Amino acid sequence: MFPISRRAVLASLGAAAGAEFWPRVASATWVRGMSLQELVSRSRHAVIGTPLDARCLYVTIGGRRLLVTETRLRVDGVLALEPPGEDELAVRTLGGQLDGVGELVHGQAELLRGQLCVAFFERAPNGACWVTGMAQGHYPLENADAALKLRASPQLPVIRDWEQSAVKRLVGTRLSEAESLVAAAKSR
Amino acid sequence: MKARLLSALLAAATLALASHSSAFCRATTCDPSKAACERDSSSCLVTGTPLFWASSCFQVYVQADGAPKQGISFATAKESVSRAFTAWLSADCGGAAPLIDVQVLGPITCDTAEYNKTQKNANIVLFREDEWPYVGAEDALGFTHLTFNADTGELWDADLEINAVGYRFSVGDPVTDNDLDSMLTHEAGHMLGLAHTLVTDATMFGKYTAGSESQRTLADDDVQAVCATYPADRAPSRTSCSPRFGFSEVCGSEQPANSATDQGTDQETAPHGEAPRGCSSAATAPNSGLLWAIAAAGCAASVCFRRRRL
Repeated sequence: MFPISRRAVLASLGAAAGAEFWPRVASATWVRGMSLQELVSRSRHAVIGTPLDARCLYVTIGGRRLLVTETRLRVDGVLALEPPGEDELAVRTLGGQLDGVGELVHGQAELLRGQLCVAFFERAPNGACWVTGMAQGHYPLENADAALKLRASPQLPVIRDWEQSAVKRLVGTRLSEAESLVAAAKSR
Repeated sequence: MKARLLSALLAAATLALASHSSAFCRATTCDPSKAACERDSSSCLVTGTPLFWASSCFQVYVQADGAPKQGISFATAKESVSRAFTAWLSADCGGAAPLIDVQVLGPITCDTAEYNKTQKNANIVLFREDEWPYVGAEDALGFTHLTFNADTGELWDADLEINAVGYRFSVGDPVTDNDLDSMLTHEAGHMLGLAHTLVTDATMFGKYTAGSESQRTLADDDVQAVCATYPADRAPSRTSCSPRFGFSEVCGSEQPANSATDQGTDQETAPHGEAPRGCSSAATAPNSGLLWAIAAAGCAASVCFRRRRL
């Protein structure tokens, strides 16, 4: 047999693992990739939170009656931006299902019940809370290497200008590192 | 030296397979607010029923205004939409076309992406030039809204809104901004019920580089996707191409209440007969299982290495 170095073994294992854990993209809208600076400056709140439950309702946006999902999110922690001042936030995302009718708008944040996440929020003039940049502003947290790390949102949209995007910057970072990055972006 | 070369080749092969895994995905009925939407190793949803058009055809109307501030007329927009769907409908499914037809029509005066539950409808492609009303989504270049039967996955309505407030689009060649044809071809895939793929050269891949036109042209993965979703031998459970409850060129707010007809609802949808699975993998396609097999081979090689050293 050919002699194969440990490096070969490690490289192949690393590549396979990298392929498994690289952010998965799913269905989408097209968006311009927001830089971390933009994500932070556009957001009013940045929190560590846990979705508790959700309901669907119709709201009128831009003259159109749309189905939205309103998720009750428990605020477990706050990043560098303005604290929401509430223990829970009602977060809206486009799409949902009600009375047998489903609506899907690609590229939304997918707030799974019980799944700890970091999320950035904007407020509409009526006070409603929306995820900044849709899935670009949502990062599920997972335990990896004995630390909480940010993952990409499952329905990440088609991102133009990927290299400069906040998603590229934040995915894979430890929570503590992400907090520092957000604080640094805010202070710029 | 040989060992280093083999190291590099093994790692490169693994990475190459990772970036070219071939496994298209379909959108499904899974509602993440009600249940965990599970995905397979190709990031395809495996929870829920795949979305599909029950008829052998559907109609898409292009809004009358086009995008005049960007010099895109109705006629130009309609041609671009037609090219986008033609790319999908001309896919070669083993000597036959996919069993779905799309009639690109218009102009239509309704300028709202909407689905009316008790009135007539239309699938619309429209540009928004004055206002983009979606808080949190100011960076979106375009939205595809799909409305479907939450139980069966049958698509009832599909609208595409293009954000011409903040973004410029170029039509044809050369591509100077965001290529309208690329975007429309990708979004046409969504309107057909497809989701993103991890295959980097596919139209349904999830990244776009401004100025690129590569997503105008289908890759093998896209062809497999549309052929599997609408196989030539399928039996459509509806016959009408009409929008659900009939076609109206005006929006719901201008229609009489309860204007719905039975058009587009000519037969109730029969069970689709598909496994509740969101995507398929090509038989010959590398997938993550193969990646791990390569890694396992690496482990086996490691044993060999260790024995030689002992």
